Amino acid sequence: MEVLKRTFDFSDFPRTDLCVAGAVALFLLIFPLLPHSSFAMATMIQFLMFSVYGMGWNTIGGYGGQVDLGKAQYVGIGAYTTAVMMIRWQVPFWVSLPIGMALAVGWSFILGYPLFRLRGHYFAIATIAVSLVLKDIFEAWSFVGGARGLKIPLRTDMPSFLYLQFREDYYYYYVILGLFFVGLFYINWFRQSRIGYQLRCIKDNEEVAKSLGIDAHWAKIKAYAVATAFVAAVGSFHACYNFNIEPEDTMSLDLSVLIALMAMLGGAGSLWGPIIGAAVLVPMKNYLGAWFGAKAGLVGLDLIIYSTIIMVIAAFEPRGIWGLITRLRESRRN
Amino acid sequence: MALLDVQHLGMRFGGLQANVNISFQVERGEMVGLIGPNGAGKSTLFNCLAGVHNPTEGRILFKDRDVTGSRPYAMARMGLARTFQVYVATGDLNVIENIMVGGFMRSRSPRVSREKAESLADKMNLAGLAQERVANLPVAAQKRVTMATALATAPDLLLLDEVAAGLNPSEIEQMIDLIRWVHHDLKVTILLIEHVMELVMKLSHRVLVLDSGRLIAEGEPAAVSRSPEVIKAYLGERYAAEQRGDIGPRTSV
Amino acid sequence: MTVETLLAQALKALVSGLTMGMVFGLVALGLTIIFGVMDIVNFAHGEFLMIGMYCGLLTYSGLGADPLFGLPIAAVVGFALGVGCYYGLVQFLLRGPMIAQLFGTFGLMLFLRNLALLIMGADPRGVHHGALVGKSFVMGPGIVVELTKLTAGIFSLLAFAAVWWLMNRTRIGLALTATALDGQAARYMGIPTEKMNAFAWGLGGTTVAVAGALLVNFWPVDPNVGLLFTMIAFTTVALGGFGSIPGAAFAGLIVGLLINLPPIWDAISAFSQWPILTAGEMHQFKYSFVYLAFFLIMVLRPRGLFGWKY
Repeated sequence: MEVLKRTFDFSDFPRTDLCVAGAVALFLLIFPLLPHSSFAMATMIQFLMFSVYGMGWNTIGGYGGQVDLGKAQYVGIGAYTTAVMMIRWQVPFWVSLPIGMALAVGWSFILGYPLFRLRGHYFAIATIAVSLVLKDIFEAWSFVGGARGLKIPLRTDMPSFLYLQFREDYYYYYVILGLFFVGLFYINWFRQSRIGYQLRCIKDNEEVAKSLGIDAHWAKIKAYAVATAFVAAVGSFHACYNFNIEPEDTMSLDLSVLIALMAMLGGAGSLWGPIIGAAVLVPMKNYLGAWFGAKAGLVGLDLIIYSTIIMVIAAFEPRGIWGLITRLRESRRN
Repeated sequence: MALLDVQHLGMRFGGLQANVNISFQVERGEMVGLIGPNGAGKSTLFNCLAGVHNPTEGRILFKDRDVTGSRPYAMARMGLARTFQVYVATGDLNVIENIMVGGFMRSRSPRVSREKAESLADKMNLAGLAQERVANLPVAAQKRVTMATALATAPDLLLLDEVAAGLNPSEIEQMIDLIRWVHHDLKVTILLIEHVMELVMKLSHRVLVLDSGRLIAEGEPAAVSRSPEVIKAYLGERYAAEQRGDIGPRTSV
Repeated sequence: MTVETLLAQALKALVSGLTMGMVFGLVALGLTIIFGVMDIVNFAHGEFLMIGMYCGLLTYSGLGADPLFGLPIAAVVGFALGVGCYYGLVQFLLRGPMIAQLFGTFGLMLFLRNLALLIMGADPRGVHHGALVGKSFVMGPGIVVELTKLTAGIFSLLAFAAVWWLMNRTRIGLALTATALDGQAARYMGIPTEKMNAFAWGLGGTTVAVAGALLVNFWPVDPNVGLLFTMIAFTTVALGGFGSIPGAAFAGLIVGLLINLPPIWDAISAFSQWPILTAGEMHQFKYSFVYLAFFLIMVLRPRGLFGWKY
């Protein structure tokens, strides 16, 4: 009972936050009913996907302070599990989803054990390295289609909720929105739980954490597994939503960094941070790309603007947009 | 049997022998002071006990179990807590959350550990500072936070690492009362490393003196402070000789 | 294939690995200098290399001169780029937490990469004529050494010697070493550590841009070429020990050999009649070996193979 109560307990946030959050939740629920372009719909789905990626990353990267730049490999494991099982054995999405998550989490335990012997920069670079090795393996592995990837064939009994194949995007929208809310409530429980506090203590000062009976190595591995479960779930969804998966788009370093970036830009280590980050970055990236991509000779300008914003945030407000909001509040109170 | 039994402990870092053949015991309910000049090996000994270093020689028995070379978190779980000289928490945990983390060692429930943390904060004069970040607090309050956090793990033995360093005389008085309260009301056995003699002499039942990595004296505070060995270690060869009257006092300073 | 041709191939791979390794060492040198002085990892390091490569390319295609004249141009551009990045970005990042440093330099990487894309376009471009290009000499039956690679290796060695001399025999180099050992103490001694940091970035930029100008003679350049070299440089630095200059040189050789492992592997497996993986399969994994080596070294020997620092 206490666990359930804490999952839905947002009482430590000021009332304005909760009002804004409620309004956003309402907007997300009714968005498909509002007039919108298909581009806007695709952007919204991407926003939700990256929010969940970011929430997952936030457990180890934000609360735990371990900068993980290799999350994309688990997106790949989730996506490939679903795709392979669906193509070869006709396994429904809802069965392959937990299997993909379990495989990813299992792999994360194997990798996490040696990875967390490293700290700081060394850890960050090592996560990149192992992620790229797995991508190389997938590119060479014919069972999963090699570099050309896999294509999920359309079913004759479409639309099918079991296999997550729909003609209209709003079905996908509500599936990922469901995942989004499950993720949000889980993180809300997580941040107030024992492991949440222990991770924040490890981030503050690992030596102190150890003196308080915390097995820091194991706590990090656990948080890493939680983060992995999140991104693998979205990876499975990605496979069904895109029909087409390749190592380059599910396992690339760019995706790993984007995941971390969303969370950091919004504010690592806060509940709303990853959502804010995704809400800012995803539309910006998509719309800048659409505006400048259409104009010949301006390829790359969208990412130049985008990277400039990243640099400015990193240099002047490392706690991200949420940090900026907190600082403004504190200065107004004083 | 003693709560803590250190047998012939030695610690070597490469060519540097920081602790040599140290043996002592701490009984349950005792309050023991550990003193010695700078570089005597106090911190090394402390870190060996807390599991930070793995001693190169000897054994440490805690509650009659051999815990030599146990990890810090394992020592904490067995009931040996420690404080930190410089307790800098740069992150976003506030005072009450810091103490809660200690409480989480014995309980999974955030409610239980928050209640425990609040009652400890209350008793240790931290209630008004509960929502502050530790880094923003004055030194005396930081020392109380590190003590409260350690106490939240419900230890049997508490190692206090220079909790009076950097405090002014009135704060030292308060610290003495606080340590007495911990010892008497919470029934925690205490081993304290300290430079502030006033605090050691007032509190300790027994004092251990380290010099150059060796245990050179052990006994009641008053007796130890008169021991020529100890005076020599602290004030130098010449001062000890002067006290014995072997040579005359230096006139030109 | 006979044993002779396989042996010759393996020898060729060995020579190629060693010469490439010297260039990799030079690529890693800048990264290790910067890391040694201020404990910051530069994700844009490969992009600095890419800019050096474009310097060489533009000297050739824009000015019509031999790509070798691109070397001094790349050196100057690299220095300016390094110092500019320090004052424009890195000095702010140093005040923040580690995560900000990672993302700040990552932003720089994206920025430079897309700037190159905007200006130069996405097509890979190579150098087709020049004093060295296309020439090679025969070192034995079947062992052909390309002159471009050999020259690049020799120039890299010279650059290493120059940096070693700078760091150990000049005032500014000693000041830099002092800053690396203990920044605060160096500041109390009156060393302008801010300027030293900027100089480290300038020096890092110079060395890597020169490596780029050497590399472009035999490696086509495109805006995305940087990431691979960033990873190679990270691996090299990890192998040699973070902050160690001689370590970077030796580790570069090892990485060069690792990347040229598939042909050697092929020779060995044919020779021993014990085929495990063919060269073709191995070829796909040649960079994986580098990444895997990085991971294993970090976990097993975190201070590098040689355990050196400075």
